[in-house]
Amino acid sequence: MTRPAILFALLVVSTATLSLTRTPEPAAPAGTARAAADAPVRIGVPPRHYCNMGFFTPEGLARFDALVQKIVAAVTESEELENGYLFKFSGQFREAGEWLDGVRGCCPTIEYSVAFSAQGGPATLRITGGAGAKEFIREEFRKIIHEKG
Amino acid sequence: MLAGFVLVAVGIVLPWPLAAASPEAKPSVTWSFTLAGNDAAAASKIDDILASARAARRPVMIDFTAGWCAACRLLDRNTYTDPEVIRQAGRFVTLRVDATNGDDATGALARRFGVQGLPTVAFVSSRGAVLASSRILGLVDATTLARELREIP
Repeated sequence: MTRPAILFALLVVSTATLSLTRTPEPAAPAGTARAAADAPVRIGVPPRHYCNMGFFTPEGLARFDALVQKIVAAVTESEELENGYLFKFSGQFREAGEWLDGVRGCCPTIEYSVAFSAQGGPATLRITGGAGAKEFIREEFRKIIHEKG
Repeated sequence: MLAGFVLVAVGIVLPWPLAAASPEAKPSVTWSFTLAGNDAAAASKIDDILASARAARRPVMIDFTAGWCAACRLLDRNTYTDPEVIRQAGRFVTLRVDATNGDDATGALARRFGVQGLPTVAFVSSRGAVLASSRILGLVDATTLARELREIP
């Protein structure tokens, strides 16, 4: 076989291989255009920060308000992060966990992560988010932010 | 009913500037009407306001807010104080629904206008149509809101 013929054969084989291994493009979900047109709520991208209106019952809100008072006392330290805030908690985390469940339900557009130090040390809660999150977090959690100076 | 309609009509002509209560407050969007919670007549009041606005051929902007809502406070502070938003809002009948107490009457209004979270800004056109596709959920910036206000017929 001549050199051009070999090159041609290699080209054919590689093209065939590529066509076999190409990932098919995902099909558009059925009714996408219709769903977009009928979308009842426009949420910005990234999602605009909002509070979940239907999360709390009146009783749940009263319980949450009572927990907030305890959380204010339990936060020993707060720290400003680039995209949010960090809070350190003393004592047991049981009620802080209950409070956090309420916060997560009410403020669904931000992220929460909790870490527990060794030897029963403080729990650390990070509340962060994307664009505009920091100002929203500062406003929402102003009661537990310890201003420096 | 007639007395209520007259009151509503007067309110549309002479909007009450809530922000003017404090001389130190920044200028802000003024609310022609505010409906607080626990008002069993809220639905009929809204009907009167919408009827009057339609008769006056003015669109309606409805702000659903609550005292416990951080995003609502930021919307008040950062967006409703923007000069272009204030200017654009001037052609609207502006209505604020305070959902702080989460009562049945407020819940019914929220369902009527498709409110799922706070803040929500809902619109009714000058011809009386609820513009579901223009409804805004969440903390919207001033540039975006001013653009939306310009587009409401």
